[in-house]
Amino acid sequence: MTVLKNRTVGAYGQILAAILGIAGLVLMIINNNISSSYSLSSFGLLAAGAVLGIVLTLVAVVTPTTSLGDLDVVSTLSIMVTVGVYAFIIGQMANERILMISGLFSWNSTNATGWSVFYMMIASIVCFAVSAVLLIVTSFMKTVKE
Amino acid sequence: MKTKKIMRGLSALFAFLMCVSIILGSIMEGYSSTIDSTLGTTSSVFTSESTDDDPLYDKYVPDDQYLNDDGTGNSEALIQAAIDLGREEGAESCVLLKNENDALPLSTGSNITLLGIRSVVSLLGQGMGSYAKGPYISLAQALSENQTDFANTIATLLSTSRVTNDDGTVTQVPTLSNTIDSWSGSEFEFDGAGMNVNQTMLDIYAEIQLQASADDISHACANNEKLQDVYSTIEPSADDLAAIDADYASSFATYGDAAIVVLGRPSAESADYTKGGVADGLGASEPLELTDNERALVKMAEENFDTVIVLLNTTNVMEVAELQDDPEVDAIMWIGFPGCYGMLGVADVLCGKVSPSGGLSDTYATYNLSAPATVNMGDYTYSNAESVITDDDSSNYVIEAEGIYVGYKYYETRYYDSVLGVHNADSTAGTYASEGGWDYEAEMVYSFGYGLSYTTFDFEWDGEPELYVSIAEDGTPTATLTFDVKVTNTGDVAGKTSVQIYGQAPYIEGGVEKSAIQLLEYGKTDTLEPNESEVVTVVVDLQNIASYDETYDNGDGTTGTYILDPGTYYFAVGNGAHYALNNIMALQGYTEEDGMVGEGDASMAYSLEITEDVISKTAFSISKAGVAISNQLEYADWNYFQEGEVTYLSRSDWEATYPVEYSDMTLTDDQLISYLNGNYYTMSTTDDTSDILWDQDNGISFYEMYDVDYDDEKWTDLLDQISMEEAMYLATYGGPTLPGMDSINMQEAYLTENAATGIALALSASKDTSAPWAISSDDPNSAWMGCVFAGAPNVASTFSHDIQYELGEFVGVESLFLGIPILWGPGLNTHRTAYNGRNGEYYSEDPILTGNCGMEFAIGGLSNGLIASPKHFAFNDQETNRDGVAPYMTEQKAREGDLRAFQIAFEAFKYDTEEEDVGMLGVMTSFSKIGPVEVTCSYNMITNILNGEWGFKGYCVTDIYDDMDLYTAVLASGVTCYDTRGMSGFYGSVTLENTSYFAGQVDGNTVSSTLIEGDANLQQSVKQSVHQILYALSQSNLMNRYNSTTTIEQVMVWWRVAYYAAIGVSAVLMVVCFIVYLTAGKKKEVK
Repeated sequence: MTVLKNRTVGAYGQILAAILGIAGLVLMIINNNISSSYSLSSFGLLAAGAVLGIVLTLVAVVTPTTSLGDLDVVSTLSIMVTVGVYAFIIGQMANERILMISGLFSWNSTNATGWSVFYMMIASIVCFAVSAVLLIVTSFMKTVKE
Repeated sequence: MKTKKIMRGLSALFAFLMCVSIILGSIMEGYSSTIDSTLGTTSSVFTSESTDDDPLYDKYVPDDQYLNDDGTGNSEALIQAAIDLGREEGAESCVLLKNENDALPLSTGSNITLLGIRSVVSLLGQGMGSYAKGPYISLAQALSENQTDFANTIATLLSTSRVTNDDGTVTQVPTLSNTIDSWSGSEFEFDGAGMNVNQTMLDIYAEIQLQASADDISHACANNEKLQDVYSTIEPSADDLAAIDADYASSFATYGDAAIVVLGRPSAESADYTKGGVADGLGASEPLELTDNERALVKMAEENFDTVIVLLNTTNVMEVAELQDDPEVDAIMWIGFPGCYGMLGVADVLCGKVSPSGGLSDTYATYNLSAPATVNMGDYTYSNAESVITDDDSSNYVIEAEGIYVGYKYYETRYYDSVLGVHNADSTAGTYASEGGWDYEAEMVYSFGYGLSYTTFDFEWDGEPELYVSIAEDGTPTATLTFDVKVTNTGDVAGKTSVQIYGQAPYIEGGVEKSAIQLLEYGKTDTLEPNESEVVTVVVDLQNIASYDETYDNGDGTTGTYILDPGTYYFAVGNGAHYALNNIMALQGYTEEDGMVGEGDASMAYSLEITEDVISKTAFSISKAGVAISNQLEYADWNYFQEGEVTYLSRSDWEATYPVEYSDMTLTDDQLISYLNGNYYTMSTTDDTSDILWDQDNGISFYEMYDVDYDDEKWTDLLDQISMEEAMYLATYGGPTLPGMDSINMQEAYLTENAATGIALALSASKDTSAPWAISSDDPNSAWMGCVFAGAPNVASTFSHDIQYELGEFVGVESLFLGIPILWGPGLNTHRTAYNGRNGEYYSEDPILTGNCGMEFAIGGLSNGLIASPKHFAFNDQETNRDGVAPYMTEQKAREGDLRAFQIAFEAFKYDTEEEDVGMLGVMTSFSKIGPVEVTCSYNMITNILNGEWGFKGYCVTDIYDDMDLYTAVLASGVTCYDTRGMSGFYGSVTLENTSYFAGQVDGNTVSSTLIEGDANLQQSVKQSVHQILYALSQSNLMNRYNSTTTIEQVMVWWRVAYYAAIGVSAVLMVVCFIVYLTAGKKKEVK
């Protein structure tokens, strides 16, 4: 728990971002398995990206407590890569579902499975998006108390 | 430190924005075609150089009437032609059902009042699928004006969106919108009906529409309207009218010559009417029954006007027996969905400029539920689906226990048998309106094909019908019976009439099921002046009276084929099926004393003794393509798997076989369950495929294939030149955007669109902007959309081959202007029941009428290089559970119902010559199954029947994203490609590997460009798919834009510039901020 000692709101924000990343990943897995017809073709890549993002977020939480100090370049790069990866995940998930979504709002509005997939996808995307926003906001902040 | 924090934050922010811009750009490129259609942009263009030796745009050219002197397109002339054709179609499709007291036509100058919300918000098209879009001419304008008011009369669309309530339930909330944003283009003059219309009522109804609450669907209405599972009438009550203008009734006196009451029901894709599906308190127990408000409206008209005319603005049969029986309702006329300009034709009929000449394309029974098909329709799930079904869309079914007895074939056959007193026809089974035993007169209102005129016609045979029989060396039969019918106008006004030829094949007790009457062919006169005569020649293809005998032993180890039982065949002309049957019965010696309903005229019937030496019983066991016909769809029959569980209706005993509801079927047969779970094809990985050539260097370009015969060796060379990867892309992505193929210089392009009411695209969104006649976006009429014509039942009700052809021909012109060589339409499914929500998109309950309409449309379109692709092949009999519902039926029903309609269209026998076998070049398959097998995966349906028996060579596409989890089975069946709507940017943004719809394959395979490397059968299937697609395209107006110089270029449209800029700016700022961040840290250390 030494990692949490002398930490600011910024660090707690990053921890929350990591938790949201985990939630997003779990929802993505559920989304992928609702129906074989609605599997994500790039699920492996997306899942790997999500895991990478979560790990890098935790790296960004930890490194300021080491000799590297606050606002260190490792945590900065971790955050930059993570928000980039999350942007990719969000975009790719939406891209893979965009045709299904257009159908739900037009010719295929009675597709109950599709709506389940849609709602789960929105929840997953919201988690990743909020996580990315938190990471960006906290990168303007100190994460270790002086 | 502060700078470092800020720069670190900005670095993260711009990294995020850069990645968002990149992925957004990638998505936009993947859907560039859709974005172009929506925004009216052009992100890629064909660039070709036209030379004398290698000219462009010379193969299909719009008629001069659509062009300016310099060869550029004349949008005003195009729209004027559409108005003229829509008017003609509107007039000829009107079906006059009742006309007492000479109520119609109305005199020019009459003062009339329009009543009913549908008189102002008329249904012009479907709420989804087959729309009528853009500016239109309203009924009131057609009756009283002489110029369009397009700027203020734009067709509306009522769509719905889902809203989840607090309690978790989902509500469909209506959204009213215009089908185009606005109209600032030309206005057009027309000669209206010259009547004076009560403006007070028009204003009231317009106000009611405006006030329709956004969250209350029961009062929302539009020109294109979706139907709901539970029908809630939108017809306002008298109190609703008074709430707008309490003194509205005082306007009746001034406009009291006649009241025209317009009643309607919407039709739309994706929903059906349901049994009892009507809101409480409406005074109706069924959705197609009149509601209390509608009855009150008619009553109000009767109380205030001497003349009451009812217009039926519907393509689903409404129950109007009470109007027929009401002596104060003077006239009833069916107008269907007349499209954007059809009201001009309706007005022409109302004022007598044109005498009505249409015939009903569906049976109007007293109660729709009296049709045996309605016993089994809607939502049925196997009782053990949860435990045995693993495939997503395979849990639902419908047992089509009515057999061949759909529509008039049921009512008229039972009528015939009841007059003869046989087969328990007069039992109580299936009775609704009858008191006691089944009574035709009580059960029927207006029979199929029926329609009145303002004049009268006399029909007589002009000589003996001529029988022609010819059997080619390969056994291909041609057998026709040609009727010359002399039609004389015996009335006082000019008019047209249809000449409907019906037939009766001899029914053998316990033998193959046969309808007592069936439409065989039709013709139509020109406008005949009083006392003028015309001889109409109608050629009947006797194949259409052949019956499919599933049990016939073909002697070659196969079973089942078409037969003509030897015996006496009867033919008759008549005003609809009932009167034709009466004429036959009169010839057979029956009279009203025997129980006939209405008179018969023996002179209008004809009998022909067909014996083996005239035509062999099995003459039609060989198809027109020279293929021996045998059972292909045995698995369509539930009893094939689980014997004896279903009883199909047979006229041998109406009482014992009248359908029961099969609502709780249990799956026990392993093969049946296996089919339902999608086990259709097992891919090989070890075949020797060395004989199948790819990537050969034969030096042929696609443009050279124009007009090359399908069987020409040049195709083999071209196909060998293509790589397997290219072939797989083309055999997968079937449009609207089709992939290009570098090996033959073919470019990726957006080539297909929807609807048969015209092409659903604005002129400004042309996909061939290089065409000399392309309408630029700055043309004042560039917002005009092609989908403006009447619904399919209107086309059918004209009973006019000419109009049906002209429509296809004109839509072909639209395709030239819009750069769309493939149309996903028209709809050729038959109306199994009145409750099918999509009846507005399909022609009729009758396959012969349906098939002929489709054939004429397709051949007309082809004259301008348009590939019509009729849908949905086949058995899309209901919208409920359409994503894979399994309809079970006998093969006889399949072949004499839906398939006969498609067969007529595909064979296009009428247009065949000794030199050329004309046929259709496109088709779209159905979402549904046939029995437990997906149509898309049915080798027997696609390869054996469509390609084999009917000789189809062309583009065969699935419905939207259908069965993409059954990839290898679909490839193997003979389907040529998928409807992959929205996808483009192939080989880059969109690949076989990253298309999410292919991610979960039932057989566990992973779709990729190398998937079929070890399967010779699939490689051959893919090669054939490419052959068929390219052949179809090579016959189309796509070839206008191809020569040896053709390439495609990307255009820097604004949205492409925007995302490029966003990526560049955010990348630069990210780098700059990151450098400053790093530098700020170093400066501090130095300090």
